[in-house]
Amino acid sequence: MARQQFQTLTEPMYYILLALTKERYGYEVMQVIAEKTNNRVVVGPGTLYTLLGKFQKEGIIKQVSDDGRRKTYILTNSGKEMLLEEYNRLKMLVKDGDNIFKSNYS
Amino acid sequence: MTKNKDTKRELFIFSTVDYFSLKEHFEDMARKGWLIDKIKYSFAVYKKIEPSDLTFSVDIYPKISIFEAADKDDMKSYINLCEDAGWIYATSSKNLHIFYSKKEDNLIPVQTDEEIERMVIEKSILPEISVMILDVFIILLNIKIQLPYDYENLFTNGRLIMPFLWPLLLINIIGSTVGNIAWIIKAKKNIKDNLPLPVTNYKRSKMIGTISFVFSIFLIIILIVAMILDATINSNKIALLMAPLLVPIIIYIYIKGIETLKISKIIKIIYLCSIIVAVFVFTIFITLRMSSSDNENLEPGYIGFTSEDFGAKVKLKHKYFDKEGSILVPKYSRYGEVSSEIGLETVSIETRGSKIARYIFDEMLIDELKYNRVLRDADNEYLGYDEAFYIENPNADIKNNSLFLLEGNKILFIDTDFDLSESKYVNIIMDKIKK
Repeated sequence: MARQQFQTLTEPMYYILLALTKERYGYEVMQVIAEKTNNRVVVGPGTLYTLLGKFQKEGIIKQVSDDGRRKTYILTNSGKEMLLEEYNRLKMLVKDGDNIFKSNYS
Repeated sequence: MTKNKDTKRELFIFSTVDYFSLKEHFEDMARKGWLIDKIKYSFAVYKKIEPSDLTFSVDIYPKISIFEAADKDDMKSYINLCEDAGWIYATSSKNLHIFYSKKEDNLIPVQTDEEIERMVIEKSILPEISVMILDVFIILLNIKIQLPYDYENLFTNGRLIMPFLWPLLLINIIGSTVGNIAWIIKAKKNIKDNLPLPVTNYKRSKMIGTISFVFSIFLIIILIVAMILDATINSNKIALLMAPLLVPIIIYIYIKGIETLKISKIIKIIYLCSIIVAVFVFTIFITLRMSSSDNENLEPGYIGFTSEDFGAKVKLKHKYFDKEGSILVPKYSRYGEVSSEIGLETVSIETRGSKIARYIFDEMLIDELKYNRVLRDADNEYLGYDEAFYIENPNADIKNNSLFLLEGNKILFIDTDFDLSESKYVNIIMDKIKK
């Protein structure tokens, strides 16, 4: 199952899935990630290609179009669910961190 | 390395794990004014450019392995994605894809995640490793079958060299398999320790690849020469002798065929393993088949005693003649006649040197004595020979019915239903040999 293989998403994986909440082609995903993270997270085309293949195989994303040069992708419903779960998990981490820091350093 | 004005070629025999050292080599070549143009038939071809400071990326397309052929459209998408990112596509060799850019462009590297990079490389080489391990197992089995080294291996060039070729082939295969396995283990450890992936040394990898390539060509040439020499002695067996050359042809057909087959990976694995096993079984079959006789009549120039020579007028059921030869034993023949009254066989051997003849002679005697037979001197009857022995079955009615003679580099073995110590038979044998 997809969730077992991608139990904890790496940063590149997380940002790729975020980028694919909207239909995008490969290079566009790279640009969006670099722009939104201020070049803190960069995903090379080879890495992106491999991850897109894995996500597609696991049914997390699907190919929408192929104009012969570029393919576009978007999250599937199970992909959205998985991303949301991860997003909520990360929010929980930050919230727990906030509480601990406030109580220890207030 | 060969070059004309505008192109340069170098031997290109590298493993997938050498990808990073290849990147550094291509950058070095670009600084010297040579840009990689294509890789074909194990040669890298460079074209002349202005010396440039280029950055290269040698990437592994993740969907090719020995069991998976590239989907052309998919590979095109992969190359297009790298080109969209600013990389210029140079060329490919199997699963290696080479891109470059100007150094000042400072592009995002093609691979930015070492764990993904390691996984792709591992996926690419693991199937090769598993096939090589199977090859190692089959070669070891062949070596076991052919040991201990038998004197009969000296009678054909093919059988003479095979027991030496198998271990040499084994060393060649083990060398590259061990290198790949070591890389996988080190890569996993490095990822765990937060270190970069291991990088092989270009010069060492090139040396190993070149040695392996030259060595393989050498082994193939030796095998072909041995087979041609054997075929000149026994042209009946040309078809059988050429059969081992089917190995590379079959493997090539498999690799080409796999591109079009829409079958699951497990079926492809089974298919490839079956081909490898079938080829090795066929090779053993050929080796055994080569020792069987196709001819009946004694050929001129070869020694063979007939029933008529011994004054026996019998109706023959069957006769056979077999000849072989090698660089160490130029002449080996076996002629036999079978009837309901008698059986008669002559083995005549001529070697290149008396020491080889002595070795074969002693081994043949040992073989005969395994079957509870008795050895008796025949020097009194067969004068002038280095060695002369009768071999007999102590329980048989007829004594002295088998004779071994050794003179210099010649051996004669006669197996009959007569007492060969009788003077009439001694005279028949001595007269025929002198002719």
